[in-house]
Amino acid sequence: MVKATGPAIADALSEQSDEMLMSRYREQAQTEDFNELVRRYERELYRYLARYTGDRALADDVFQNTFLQLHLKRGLYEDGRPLRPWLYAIATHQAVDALRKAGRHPTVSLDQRIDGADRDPGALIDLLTGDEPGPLVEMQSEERREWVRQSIAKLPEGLRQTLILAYYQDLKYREIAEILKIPVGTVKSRLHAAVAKLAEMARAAGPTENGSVP
Amino acid sequence: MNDAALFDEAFGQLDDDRREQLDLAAASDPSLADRRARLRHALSLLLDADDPEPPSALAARTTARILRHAEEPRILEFAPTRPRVRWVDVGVAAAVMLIGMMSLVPAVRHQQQSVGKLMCTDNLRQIGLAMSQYAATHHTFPYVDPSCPASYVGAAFVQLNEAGLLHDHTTLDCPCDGASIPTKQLPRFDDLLGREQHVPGTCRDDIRVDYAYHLGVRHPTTGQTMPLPFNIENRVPLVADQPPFRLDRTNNAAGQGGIVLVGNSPNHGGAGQNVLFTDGRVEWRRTRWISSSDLDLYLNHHERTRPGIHLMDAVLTPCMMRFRD
Repeated sequence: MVKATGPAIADALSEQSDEMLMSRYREQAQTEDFNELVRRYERELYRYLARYTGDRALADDVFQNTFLQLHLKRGLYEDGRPLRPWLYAIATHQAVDALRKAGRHPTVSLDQRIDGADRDPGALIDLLTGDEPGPLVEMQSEERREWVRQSIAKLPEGLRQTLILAYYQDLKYREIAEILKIPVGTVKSRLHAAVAKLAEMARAAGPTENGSVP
Repeated sequence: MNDAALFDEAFGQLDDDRREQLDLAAASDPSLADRRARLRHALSLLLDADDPEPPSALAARTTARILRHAEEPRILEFAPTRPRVRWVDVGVAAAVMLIGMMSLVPAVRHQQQSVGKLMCTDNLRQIGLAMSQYAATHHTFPYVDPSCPASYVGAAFVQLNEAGLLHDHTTLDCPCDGASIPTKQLPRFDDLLGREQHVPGTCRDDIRVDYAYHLGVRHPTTGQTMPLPFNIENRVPLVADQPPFRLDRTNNAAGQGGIVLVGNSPNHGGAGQNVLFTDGRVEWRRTRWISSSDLDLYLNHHERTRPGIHLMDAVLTPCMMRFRD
């Protein structure tokens, strides 16, 4: 599977689109094409899985399973279909399965109505900017990052997925909609709800009576 | 530009044109620029998180794992190429086939009954043709005087056969009764008579016919029994599927030879009987009732197995029983 490739071949592969590599791998099973895809998505997909699962070791395993599934299902790939949403969809399913096996079953159904989903963007911006300087300003960078990581992990399943894909993975609304098999409007409302939820959690994270930050 | 655009920009959802429009709007609107900056700052605080770096050689380990997977034997390779057939499989298959066949049994049986009924009708039509030819010659339908030792009702068919009118004696076998009569020819009447004179009752089993024949009628003025005349004006039953009956094994020559039981003919499973009339027509009757003047095909008006009390009172009797006064 892993073969040494010369610089010329590597350059030629880097010029190919994801879709072209996948189509050729489906037809010719050239390992170089698949290895190139793994390399391209190594950092991006691992970050997504690490944030989503909250467990780096688990993310490592899910990453490998994701590409194993891509290899096994290569015959199902349709020419012209964007590879990125398909790959993220596989990764998300693998992550959900892994979390379930690890006993961290999602507690909120994806179809469940989300509080604050119909919040007005203006009101949401007011909520975000109204409390400055809020408790998060007073935290050190590392402390704040840890708070953010833990807070995102506490979000309901659907909100966490949408927030990570939209903010950290820079995916477009329509790509997220395709990955999660939900309408674009639902993506937006989940995103608003996720941000609102985090803002409420930040407001509640103010100094306690003894002056410490929780 | 509205707040939704600010929010979409913060999440990287604006294309270049809209972002440029937002920049222009912010340049001319200080409050919008301030709101834009405050939103960016708030989100950077709220969503600021470390970027986890992938562990070393993750891509290499992934491709190596896929390679191992490709080289691992599949579970299907351990499966026997020729799966054993278990008894339970055979049983299930047999049960399915049995249920399927059982679902077809009623339809097949109904079809067989329909075909058998048609063949029985054809038999009676041939017998009716022979009877008409006999009656045209003798002016009466076949008949044996009750005083004759060989006065079996079936002897009428013997006469028909000896007259050369019964070309195929298998027409005397109803195909629906489930039993076929012996293939040997009918006995000659003289042989029948000689044997009956010597030992009464010995020839009864030689006349194996599945149909019942007319027992004759009483003369309207003298009351004497007589054969059914050929020139009868109304149509009356002449031959039909034989009724259920029980033989009298005492070999009493003076007796009827048995009794007729209630119910339809057993030839068709009790569903009814084919009846040949003197006009040559064959009709299927679900009951023994023929008309208001003939209430029972197998009994006379006095509900006895004796000749009818008038011309329209037909009484058809099994061939192994005797003509009676």
